[in-house]
Amino acid sequence: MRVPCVRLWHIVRACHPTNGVVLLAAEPVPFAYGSRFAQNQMSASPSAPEKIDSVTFDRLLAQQDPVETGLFDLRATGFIAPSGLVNLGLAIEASTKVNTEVQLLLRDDSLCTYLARSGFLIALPPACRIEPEVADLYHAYDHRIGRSPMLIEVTRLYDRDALDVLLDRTIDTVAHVRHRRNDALDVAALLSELGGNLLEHGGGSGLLALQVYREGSDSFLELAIGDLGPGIRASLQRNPQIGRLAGDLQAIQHAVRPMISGSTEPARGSGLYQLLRLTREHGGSVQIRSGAAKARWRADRPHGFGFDTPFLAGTQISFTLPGG
Amino acid sequence: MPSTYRLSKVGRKLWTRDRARTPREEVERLLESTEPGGTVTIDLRGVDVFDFSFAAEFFGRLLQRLPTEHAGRFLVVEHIGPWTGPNLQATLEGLELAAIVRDEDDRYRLFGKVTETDRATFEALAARGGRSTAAELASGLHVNLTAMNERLQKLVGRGVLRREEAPGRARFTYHTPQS
Repeated sequence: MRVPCVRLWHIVRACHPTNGVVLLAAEPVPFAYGSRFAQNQMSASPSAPEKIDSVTFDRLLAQQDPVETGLFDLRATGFIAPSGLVNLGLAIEASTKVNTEVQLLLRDDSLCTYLARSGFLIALPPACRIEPEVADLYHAYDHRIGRSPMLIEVTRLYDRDALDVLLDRTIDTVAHVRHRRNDALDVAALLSELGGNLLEHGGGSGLLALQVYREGSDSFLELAIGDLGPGIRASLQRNPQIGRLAGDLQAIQHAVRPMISGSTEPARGSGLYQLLRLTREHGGSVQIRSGAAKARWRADRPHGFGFDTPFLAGTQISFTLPGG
Repeated sequence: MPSTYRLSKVGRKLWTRDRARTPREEVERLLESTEPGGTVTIDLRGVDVFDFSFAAEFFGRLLQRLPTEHAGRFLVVEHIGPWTGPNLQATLEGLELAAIVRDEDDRYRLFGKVTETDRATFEALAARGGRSTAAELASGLHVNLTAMNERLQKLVGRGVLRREEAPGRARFTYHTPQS
């Protein structure tokens, strides 16, 4: 069911004083957003989430303010999804810019092993101290990097050549869950768009991770990519043809429309629009996070949802696709 | 003699806007050296995929400039594959552009952001050997002449038809690449 489209934004803050939920009114392109309340994701919790993903990552930021304090206490965490790995890696990197030392506290050896195998530990800046000591694990899985057909380890993206290598690996990896070659090429095309945006608008460097999951006969993949660049709002505002954007959420909303770009060059600005379109066609979901806001779309719902979040510089995007 | 540009010489997987600039400039030079009424063909054989930024920079900018910078020339795309077609279609729709595509059976059709009226008008002209007057098309499609002239002018403005003044006659003929 599509909600009738309206042309005006309606920003409503929920009653809870700590709740940064922002409603998105209906917008004609590419999705009709409903004026539904989304669940409060910002409720306080005494410990880090058991699982860190694109949803719970902001709970961690809200509870611990780790970027400012330099302390990331994940002793209650047992699993981190690719979106969590990328966002966490970027948050730690951001923290090292304001703290001389950053601490990452982990629960146990099994999580440490997973983080080493996923390439997360190697991607961390040297100023990050990890407890328990994992020095051996930095190298224990070096020989496995790039060899798993089910994942692309947390990888720093810094130039076009690195992106090309990742795109080839993406095609091979996606083929394990999406059996039509077209689907693997679609995912690679999306990653090419997002990677190109990162290199051009995101400060020239960022992180990426992809993993395929199997649960019984079901399978799905999650891909996450992010940077600590200027963010979507600052990027779009470079274009004088785009009016003033009131906040990060409005900027995200604007950015997913066709032909909206921070550049005034012709034929620009279709990447995020195509991301939403293709993800919807494939039955998946997308989250775009930038600055102090994020928005999420699911193919099985006509509405997108927007949220206030704790601030993290740059742009972080993740999408999931079901197997098929 | 039409010129053909094989895009696969750039690569099989065509990623990013940057990679599209040089081939786009090469095709622009081909268009500049083509006489009015001539055609430059983009052959997609051997290309597995391109992303939307590549398509926008290559096809999008070529087609945007075609009606003004290279008026009277045609740009035709052929050998569209199952993995290039959808991205090209999506890119052209997003940019509100139209392109001429030649199928394996030599049939010409429109691709991209195209209304049913545009499509019907173009195909009717193609069915007449790619050359007709507005009056002949209007009669064939049971449309009044004023409306047909508007349709044809719109397609000329989009770079998918060429208009030629018939010598000694106060009327125009309209052409697709096949004529």
